[in-house]
Amino acid sequence: MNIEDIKVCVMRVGGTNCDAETQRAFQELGVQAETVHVNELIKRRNLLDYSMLVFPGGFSFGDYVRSGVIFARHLSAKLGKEIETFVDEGRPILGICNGFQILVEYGLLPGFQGISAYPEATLTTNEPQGFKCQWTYLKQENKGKCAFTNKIPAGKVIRLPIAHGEGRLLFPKEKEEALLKKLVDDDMLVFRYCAKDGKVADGKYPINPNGSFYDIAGICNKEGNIFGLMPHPERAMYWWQQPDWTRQQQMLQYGDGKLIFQSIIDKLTKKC
Amino acid sequence: MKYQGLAPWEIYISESQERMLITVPPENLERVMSVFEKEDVQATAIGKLVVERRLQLNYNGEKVADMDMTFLFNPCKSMKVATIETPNLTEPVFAEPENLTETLLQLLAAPNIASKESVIRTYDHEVKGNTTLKPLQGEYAGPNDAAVLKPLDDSLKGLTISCGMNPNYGKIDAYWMAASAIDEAVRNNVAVGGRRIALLDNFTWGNPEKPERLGSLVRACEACYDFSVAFKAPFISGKDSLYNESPLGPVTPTLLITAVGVIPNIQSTTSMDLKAPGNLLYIVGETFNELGGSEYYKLKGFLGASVPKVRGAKAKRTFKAVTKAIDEGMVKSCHDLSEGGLAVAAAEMAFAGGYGLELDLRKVPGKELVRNDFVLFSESNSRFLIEVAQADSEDFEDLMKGKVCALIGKVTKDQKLLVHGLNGKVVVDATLESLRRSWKQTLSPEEAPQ
Repeated sequence: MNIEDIKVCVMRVGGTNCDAETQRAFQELGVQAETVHVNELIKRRNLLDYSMLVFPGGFSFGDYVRSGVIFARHLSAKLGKEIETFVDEGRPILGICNGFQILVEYGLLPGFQGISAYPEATLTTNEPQGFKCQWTYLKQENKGKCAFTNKIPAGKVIRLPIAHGEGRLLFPKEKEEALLKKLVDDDMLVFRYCAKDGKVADGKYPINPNGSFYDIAGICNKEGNIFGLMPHPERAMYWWQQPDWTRQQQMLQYGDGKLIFQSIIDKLTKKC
Repeated sequence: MKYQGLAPWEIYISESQERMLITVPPENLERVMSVFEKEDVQATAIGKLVVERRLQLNYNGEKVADMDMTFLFNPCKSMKVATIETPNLTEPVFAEPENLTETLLQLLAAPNIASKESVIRTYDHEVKGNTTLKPLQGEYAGPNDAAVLKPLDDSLKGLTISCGMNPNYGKIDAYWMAASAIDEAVRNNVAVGGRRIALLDNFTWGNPEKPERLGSLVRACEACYDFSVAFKAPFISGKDSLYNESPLGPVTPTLLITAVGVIPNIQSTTSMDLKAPGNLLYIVGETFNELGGSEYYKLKGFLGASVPKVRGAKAKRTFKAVTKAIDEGMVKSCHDLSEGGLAVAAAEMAFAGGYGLELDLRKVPGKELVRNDFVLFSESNSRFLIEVAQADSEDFEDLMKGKVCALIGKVTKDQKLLVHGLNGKVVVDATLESLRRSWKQTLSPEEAPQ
């Protein structure tokens, strides 16, 4: 695919609030990106005109019931067929923060065996409890499956900010160890919260800011084309978004968030 | 209507939230309605503007109100009485404490000074991805003086947003409380690189129908006028909340000032954390024995009388010079002096940057400075601490000629705040870790170093 043919759909609904900067991040890298209200997609039925689907951050439907659940049910009722085709064709889907919650509630992630009818995991109330906005270090642990991280070598530490109240990934307690093994064996684990030096948090606050199981911050499905993460790469796109750029002697043009957007674009243009 | 049983007059005055009125030219109505429909937002056309200067309300085809505009908008004038009280206050008499390091640690832990990290992080201060200076700075989450946003994709212009407030000063004098809040908001804005500043006021007061409550309100408003004019900073918006009383009495009159400024290029945004050992530290602005209403007096159990004043013309010149120094790239870090004075500001710069500071109180310019504790903790307005590289020191001093400015110390590699007192002896000697811990433990214990 030529870079100029890539069309990104940033899907929005009432309560989404990170659509503009997510669209901007893709546009910065030379692809077409459009913010589309879900009602428009339902009316036009043209989801399959897009090469990639992105669920940005926010509070879709006011986060009532459980973060992401109303949007996920709404989508599967109204656009279920198109989304299934989209996934079957291996087109990429990215979920950031509330978008990750939507993907999990929909059953698209973890996706041990394709789309699940019921969520196989949950992103639940932070521990310690409460909304938290801060920068975190993340260790890339994917060995090559994830289509969104091929520009980030395994073991590398990157920095992205989080802003959420429900980011603690949990599996059912009795299946926890087995599912973690599957996650690792099938190369679905992507980001873990870690210290500056790359040492994983091991559950320790505030390095792991939300008590997430196994310090998990982001995962992909078995095929690697669906990726969800709690941190916000679109808030770490430019030098001036960095938390300590006023201390830097030599200014870089971009932040670490760019690596995620660039990875998927390179994948689609077959540069890697 | 969510509830059908409301009478027409109830519908008209209901204060249900999350509603807005907008006026739309008739030819745009259809387009506007389609926007709302797309967003799943309920919108209904409920009326139109007419030439007759009357308010006419209909309900189910029946006229239920018909009023003249003049009647609505020209209420009769009434007279209120304000009395301006001068409380009979005196300056406390007490000896200088022997251990000022301990006093500094106590001040850093005082609720008004302590880190508000546990609260600040519960707000999404990065939404829209345009925050270029965060409320908390860097790894150690130091307290930046203002936030800076970059709202335009195709421009490096930034918006600088800051606040000022100190209700404790109002217990002495409402006029100087308001003046100090304005000065604090403006100097916080200037400290990060803001200029072309506009102001917002938020008043929280008791019942203004009682003469002395109204009196302090009048005095605060007079200060708003005087210093808006002095700083050429217009009030562009605001909000008030009055009648805050209970049988126990009124709330402490409180004025929050917000300042909104512009920085022409966000690349010159200045954060408050020390940047490199070897750099020099200057104090800009004059220090007076102004401790009335200060955090230091409060710690000692006093209110005092010597509330900080604002010398408008001088302050304006100081702010201008600081802006120039920032624009010329000479300022490595800048922090305003407010609650807890010089000692707290210096400590914050040090523990936020991870570098030590060595200071000499004998170099601090001021009037009748004879006590170490007063020099350290005075809350005189319009002052800054500014870090400058040695190579820029001459240019900086040239630029500051004619303003009150003095070199008072330097940034060190030692993880320590070291202050030499008025007799040359060390009066404060504290590790950055202990300063950081005191500052965080009161309100953000989970973020404090273990």
